[in-house]
Amino acid sequence: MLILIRKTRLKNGKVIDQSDSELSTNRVRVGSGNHCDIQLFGDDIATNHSDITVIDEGHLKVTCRANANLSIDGKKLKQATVTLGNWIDIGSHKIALIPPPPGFDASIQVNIDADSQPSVQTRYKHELRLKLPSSRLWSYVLSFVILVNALIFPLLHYLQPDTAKTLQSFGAPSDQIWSTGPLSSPHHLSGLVDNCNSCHTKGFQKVDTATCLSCHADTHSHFPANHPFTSGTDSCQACHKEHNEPQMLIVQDNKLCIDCHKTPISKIDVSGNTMGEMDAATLFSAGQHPHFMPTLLQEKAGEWTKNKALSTQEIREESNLKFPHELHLNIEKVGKKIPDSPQKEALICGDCHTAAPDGEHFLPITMEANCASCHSLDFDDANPQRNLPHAAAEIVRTYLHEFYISQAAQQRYSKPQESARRVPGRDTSARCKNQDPLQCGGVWAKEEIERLFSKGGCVDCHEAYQEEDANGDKQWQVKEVKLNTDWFPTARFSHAAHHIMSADNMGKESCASCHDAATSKLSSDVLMPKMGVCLDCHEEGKKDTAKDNIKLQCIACHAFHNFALPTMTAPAMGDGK
Amino acid sequence: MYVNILNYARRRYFWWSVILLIACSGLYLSQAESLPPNGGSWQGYVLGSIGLFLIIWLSCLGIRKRSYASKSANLQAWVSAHIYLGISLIGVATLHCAFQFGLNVHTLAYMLMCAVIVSGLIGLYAYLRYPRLLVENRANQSFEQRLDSLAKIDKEGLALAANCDTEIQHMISSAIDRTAIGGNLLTQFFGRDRSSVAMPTKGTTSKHSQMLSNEGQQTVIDFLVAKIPNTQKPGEAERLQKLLYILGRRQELLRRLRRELSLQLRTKLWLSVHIPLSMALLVSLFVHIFTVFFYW
Repeated sequence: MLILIRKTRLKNGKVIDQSDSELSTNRVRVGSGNHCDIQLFGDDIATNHSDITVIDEGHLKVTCRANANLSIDGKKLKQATVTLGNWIDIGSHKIALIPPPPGFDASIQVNIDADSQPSVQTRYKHELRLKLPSSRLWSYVLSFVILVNALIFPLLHYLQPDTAKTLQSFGAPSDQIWSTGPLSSPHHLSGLVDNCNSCHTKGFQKVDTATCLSCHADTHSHFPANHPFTSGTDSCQACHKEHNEPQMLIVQDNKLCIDCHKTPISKIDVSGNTMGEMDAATLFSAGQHPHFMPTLLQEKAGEWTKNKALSTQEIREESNLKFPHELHLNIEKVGKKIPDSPQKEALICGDCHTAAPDGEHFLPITMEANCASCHSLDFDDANPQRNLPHAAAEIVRTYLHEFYISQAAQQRYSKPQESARRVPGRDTSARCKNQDPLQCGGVWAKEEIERLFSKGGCVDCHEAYQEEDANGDKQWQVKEVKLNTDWFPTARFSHAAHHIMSADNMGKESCASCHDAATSKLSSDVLMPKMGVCLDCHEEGKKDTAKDNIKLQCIACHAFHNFALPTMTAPAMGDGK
Repeated sequence: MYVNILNYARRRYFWWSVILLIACSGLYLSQAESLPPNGGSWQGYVLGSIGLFLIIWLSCLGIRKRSYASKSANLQAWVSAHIYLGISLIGVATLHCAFQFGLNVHTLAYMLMCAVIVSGLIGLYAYLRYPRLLVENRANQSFEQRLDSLAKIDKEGLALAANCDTEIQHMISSAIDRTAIGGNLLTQFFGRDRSSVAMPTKGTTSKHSQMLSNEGQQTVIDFLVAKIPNTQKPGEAERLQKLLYILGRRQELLRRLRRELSLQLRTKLWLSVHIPLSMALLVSLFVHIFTVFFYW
């Protein structure tokens, strides 16, 4: 809409001058501000005073802004619509709609009272009075917003969970914003990770043991009776801390162990009986940590027991098996065939010892899996394809009786046959030719049994002895063989982690760096390394800095939660005595 | 030596802050390897307590500066210590939180603390720099005196213009009426000139005019400069020259007025941010301490 604005300036009621301007707009801004289309001055004129809207060429609407007024015939109004030729007073100025000249859609006559021209000081009174943001108001607003969102809404999750969940669906923050760090990965479980109250059950109290045990009911104790760490209400927290960055659920602090173990402690069994004393440990170094005392397998009158060695000197173990490691690792004496080659190579530990999946232990040694490939059980030169059963002595004796009686019967009733192999001086092809097979074969079997159990054969590996049977006859028996599989059942050691000690994983070099097998001539030798071997790399407080020692935590070798003991929820642990 | 709040008492509080930060770093490094360093170790609690004490003490400046009868150390010492210890607070708080941040109320308190310190640094810059700029800008004339000068030359300008043709007369009158000083916060802060002028519409012989920006009175000056060589009436060129001189004076006066407003505002505005943020920090600090011990 093209509007003509005709301004007439009057002083003391007399016209000083007139000027026209044109505007292409629907809304004409009136006020003292310099951006206004019609600029008027006066004490009662605001910077943005009012807006004039031309409805059509016969109607005009004036709408005042807040704190501004207009008047018609002395009557104060906020807004007014007037027809052609009717005057509206704005302060001491007048505005009216007049008939537009040709080419214009509307024309506004403005009579400006030039007497109300203000001084510079009053003119810029409003523009210069800038109100700074109120520190007090903003302090209240910010404090309120923080209190509500960071404290009250999250607190509702503890006090009124149902209300809090409803509010949360509308975007209110939850108590997750109180978290000081992420939960450790084992605790990333639905219902736990999204619900602080699953662990934080009581305000201003550390997470208590009962809350932990509500899930960890099967966790084993460290001590058969009440332990200082396991009897307090927040005992789990002594060792287990959550919300760490990076996550570290188990506190790596030897002090937690040493605080109790710095002095010798009486050991008690599950029934509460004292079982001797446990030496003090203050540091993993010589003199400050007890010597390693392997648990040995021992036999007394047919009863096998596992006992801790009582001294570090001359530790012997009874397995009733003859096995010199020295012999088997010496290439001069024992070697294994290299395929397609006349050469032989030495055995390595891994040829017999196969690591178990746990990375710590080894699969049990058996005759079939580990010995038979070299040590066949053939016993008769004339029948090298025949092998003894690797079974109890009675079965072996019976087998030999059956075999030799059968041999005697063949010699008695068959035509002589050329044996495939003849050993000078031991030609037995005609031994029972004209004799009673039962009698001759029986004697023959007894001789062979005597030889196998006393000279060479079974006794190569086994301990044999004679025992009277029901008829008063002496019969050969073999001592039961039992091999220890774990000399430190309560300690942890990762063989897998120590393989790096040799490029030849599981090879001779790798194992030999700790286990002195190459010089062990007796199977009663316990090849468990002494503490000094571990100290070479792991000694604490060592002054020698030539080699960087790898510091160990107590819990690297010693588990706190002992599988041999009752669970922490068992009554003995919770009686508070 | 010229003494200001930074080198007060031979930078005594700077050295206090350095010692504080060294002690806090030692405390931080003494944390056992048994757990990642955090605010929950005893060292973390000590660092947190130092931070809490510092924040409360720093907030007390607001009370101290109004206690005119106070006999505690003079205000200059207080402000100097406030600045150095306030800056060292970033170090103390960062060591307390052990460089761990997240989307939580604890980092909110930390961020607010940083915002308070940054706003304080802006205030420090303002206090050190703007008073000198204000003095230079005033050139021995106050704001009110300069407004009077403006009124005086406006009057001269209008009188001169009254003898020129109506086109010039309207233009000068409009340029004076539509000169803007002050305004809203951003306009004053940046010293923007939103002046305008109703100029004769080019290429028309009518009295119709159009509104143009008159930033720095430049539009009017350019118009007069173009007009002077084309005057026909006797004495008009001389009048226009005088008008041009008056507009030049106006330009300079207005520029200094706006600069004064801008510098005054910049000297005060930072405090309007510093104080509400400090209050927000105190509240979020309370929330931080409450929540840490509530969900222990």
